[in-house]
Amino acid sequence: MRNIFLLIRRFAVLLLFIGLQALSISMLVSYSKSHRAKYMELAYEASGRINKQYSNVTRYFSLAENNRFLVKENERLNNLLAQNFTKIDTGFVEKTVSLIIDSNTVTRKYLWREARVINNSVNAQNNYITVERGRLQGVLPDMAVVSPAGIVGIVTDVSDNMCVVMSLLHRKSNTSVSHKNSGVTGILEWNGLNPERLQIRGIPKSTKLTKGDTVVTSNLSLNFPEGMMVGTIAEFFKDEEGNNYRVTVKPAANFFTLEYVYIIENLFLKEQQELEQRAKK
Amino acid sequence: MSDPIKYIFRFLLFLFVQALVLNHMPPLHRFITPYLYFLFIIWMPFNTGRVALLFTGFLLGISLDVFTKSPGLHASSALLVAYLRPFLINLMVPKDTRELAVGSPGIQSMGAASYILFITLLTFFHHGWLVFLEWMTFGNFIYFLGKVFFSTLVSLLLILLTELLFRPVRKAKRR
Repeated sequence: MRNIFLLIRRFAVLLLFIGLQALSISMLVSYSKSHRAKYMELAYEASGRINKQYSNVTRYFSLAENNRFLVKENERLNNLLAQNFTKIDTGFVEKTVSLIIDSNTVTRKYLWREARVINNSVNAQNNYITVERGRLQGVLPDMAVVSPAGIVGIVTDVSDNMCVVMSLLHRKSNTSVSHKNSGVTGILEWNGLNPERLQIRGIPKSTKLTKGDTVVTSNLSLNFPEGMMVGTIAEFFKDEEGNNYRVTVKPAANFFTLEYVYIIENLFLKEQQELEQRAKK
Repeated sequence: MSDPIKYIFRFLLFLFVQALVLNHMPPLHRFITPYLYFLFIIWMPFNTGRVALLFTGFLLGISLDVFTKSPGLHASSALLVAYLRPFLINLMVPKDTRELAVGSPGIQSMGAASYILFITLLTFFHHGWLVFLEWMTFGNFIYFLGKVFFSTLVSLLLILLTELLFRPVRKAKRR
């Protein structure tokens, strides 16, 4: 017995090293498996405060850029206003609207919330963005995050006033997207190499692609509204084995200078998930 | 300034410089991410206990992990540095210097050549382990080597600059 104690005393430092090492690696493994960890919530709240102070300073440097984006977006929205449209042909009767949707019973499906980015990374394998909106402001995991230019990621962790967004630049990120011209859908991923290139798999070779084609979110995505800008095709080539193209996309959102984003809540998400669960049983 | 306060300030300074400045550097190249924070562990005094060193390393790493949202990644690498440091010191530093209560690793106490070797080895181990953990799921070996090599190079440059800025070598006073 005494010898065992002596042995433990002799290797105490080594044992402590191995113990702490095992603790950190198990944390790392469990975190990268689920992207969610209850024990990190408090820590995020604390580091979020510091990041907020810091970004209060740094955001002055990108005011000009943000103004440009806001003006652009206002232009786009103004163009959608009803008073911009007129009916030239007085005999024209708009049938479809009144037949298919009764405008009195239109239900909102997506709710947009603006939010500010307070921390962001692009040079890791798994990149996260911290956004200053949390549970108290109605943000929940699985909500979509978009910037004025294009989609950005999905909320994974939520604390009271902050949330953590899994950026598209994450090795576990996958989003259903479609090629705008043909409507063919594929899965958008990132291979972890270049933050300015994303990959799409699952687009069959029969599709007609051109460089510079627009890629948008598909109607199959649970989180994103249909038709949000994702990026443009940078290059594509036919995979030797298999039926699909290998497509690289230049993301429309600039991940290096994210400042303001929108968090989009799909109000039907729970209903759809429950229905699909029930159908599977 | 008394020692504990000095070390707490230094801890926070290294943490914030790493988390708020170096991690936000626009990437020069995808191979390069400079790391400086583990210099805190290297600069601890010679007479720090090994257990205390391990705990400090763990605390420093886990605090940085909170910022980078990778619980355990930097903690594990900083632990490795804290664990290997005493072995390298035993090999490289003469016993009478080691037992001085005030000294800490530096050009003055170790001599330029062996200090640079000491720093290089620890930086290399740190980056090797960090990138290994980060790329565990990834198969490309050339990529792994490239990232370790270039990140080590850039970090070493930064470390030497820090060294020259904050701990300039003074001529030893003759007693």
